Amino acid sequence: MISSIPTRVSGSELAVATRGLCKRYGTQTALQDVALQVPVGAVYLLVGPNGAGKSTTLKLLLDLIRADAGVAEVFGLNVSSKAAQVRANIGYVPERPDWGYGWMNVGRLLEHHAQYYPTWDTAYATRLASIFQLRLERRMNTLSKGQARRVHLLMALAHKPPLLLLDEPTDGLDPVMRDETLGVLADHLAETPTTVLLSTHHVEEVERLADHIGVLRDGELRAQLSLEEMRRGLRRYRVEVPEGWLGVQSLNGAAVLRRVTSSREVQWTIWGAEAEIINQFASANATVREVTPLSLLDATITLLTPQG
Amino acid sequence: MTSATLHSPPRYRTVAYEQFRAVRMALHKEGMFFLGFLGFIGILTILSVLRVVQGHVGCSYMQFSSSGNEHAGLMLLLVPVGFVGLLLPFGLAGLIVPFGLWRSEDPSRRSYHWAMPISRELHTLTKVLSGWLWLMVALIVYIAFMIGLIVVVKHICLDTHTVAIHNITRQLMTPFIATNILYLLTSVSVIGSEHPWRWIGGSIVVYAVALTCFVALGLHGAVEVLGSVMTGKYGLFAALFGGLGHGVAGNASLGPVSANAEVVVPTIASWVKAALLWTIASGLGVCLATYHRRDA
Repeated sequence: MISSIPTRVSGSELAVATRGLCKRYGTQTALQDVALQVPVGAVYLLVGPNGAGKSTTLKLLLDLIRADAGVAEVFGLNVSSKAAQVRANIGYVPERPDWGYGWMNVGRLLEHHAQYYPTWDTAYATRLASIFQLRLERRMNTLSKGQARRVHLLMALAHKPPLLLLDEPTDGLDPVMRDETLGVLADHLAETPTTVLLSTHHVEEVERLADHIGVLRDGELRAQLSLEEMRRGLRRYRVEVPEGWLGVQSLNGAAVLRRVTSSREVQWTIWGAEAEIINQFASANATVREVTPLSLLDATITLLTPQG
Repeated sequence: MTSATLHSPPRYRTVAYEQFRAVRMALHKEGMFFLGFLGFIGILTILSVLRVVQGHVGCSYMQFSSSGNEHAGLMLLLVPVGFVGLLLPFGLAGLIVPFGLWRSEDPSRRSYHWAMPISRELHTLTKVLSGWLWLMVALIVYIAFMIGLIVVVKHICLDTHTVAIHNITRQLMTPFIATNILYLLTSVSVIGSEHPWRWIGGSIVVYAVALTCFVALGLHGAVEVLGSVMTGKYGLFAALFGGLGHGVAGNASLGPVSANAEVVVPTIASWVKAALLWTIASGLGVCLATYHRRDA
């Protein structure tokens, strides 16, 4: 039996669920039959190269764009027919920095935003404004990308939504503020029951927060699983092989994702049951010297690299 | 069902009130320009009144007439006198305010507005309504200001050149209706298009070119049909200016627009019908532009 990488999350109550989601822009396919499953309470990392469909997916969940086919639900609410109710439960940080009214100053924009969210916590907003070092009198269209990003984060967090959609939330932030922001996010998650769907290229930064991962490539969801499952199933094997080695006949259906050869040592990145894989190598006269789990960054690179 | 505690969307009343406040800020520049305009007229009026009071000039200096050679100062602003004059700045306001209202928010950059927890169509219509309300407030202030100006001038120059205004209700309704129609028509292009000026300018050019071609080709039927859109019984001009048709009398106080106008002067019934027709049509246009689904 082929042990392919899971694309379904099983046994969890879902905050976000999509089925057969398709979106095309003219002749370009942005999303193809995507079945996203984000469990309640998860910090779900959505990764993919530029143009893979990550931002499109988040916008679909806000009903900012409409799918050509398929269904999307947030907490069981259809995002098309219950759009306003869905949006009331989402805190969104968009990718683009010019979000909000450029002619408003920061303080007035926050006041404006607060009126739309009955659960807006003014004390919390004030605390976040202080942490993010926001100058409330500055006009939005005079802010740098990083400053605008901090305002957007505050807007997303201060009404304590059950679901956060964060599209490159640390993009444009300096390293200190990036660290500060991730700390704020971690504190927020500790204090408030929240599900997070997060898209970022800075995968290593969110390793301590994320517990699920989804891999989008060319508009298709290639993998979707918990990080625990990934660490268990996706491993790097350092294998010593005899001279003139003909290779291993079969890895019992395990998925070989990467192979790097240096003289008589081969590094394999394989998805599958560790014990079975070691046995297969042994029966092919190769010796497994080391088995290591992959870091989130390595795993992401591996999963995003097209297989030859 | 889910174990997460879900939040409710805001009450519509809260959103509408906040939109009303936010729109006031969005139209800040236009508002300042408007106040500056009123201030400019006010200063000119005071200077003119002072000249009359001090005996430097006679009352004819301030008369509400477009004839004679003494006109200067205040007259420069009040040549299109009476309520016809009221239409000009507010016709412009009806055209400009939608652009201020949706500043930096052409459809491809409207995602913030659409991401709010309220039906995006209702949200858009609420914003249009808020802009309209502020426009009407400004129009009321403007008309009150102009009436005050006329009263002051009349008080000083009681003996000569008075302005007699008949059908005052109709006269007062005209700028409101004209401004309303222009506001809604402009809103259609601003809400629905990335390039509203192209649509507005393009429509005028296409109309003019089509009309010219039909005339050149001798297609009288087509000329009549196309011409009626603008100058017909229920045409745009009838809707915008029809209220002034028979209302103002006195010494040439109609000003150049009605004095020289070649458009059909409608009866009050046809004016009301034309106004209703154009208001409904432009209102439907706003709804169509709003409900036309666009991706953010």
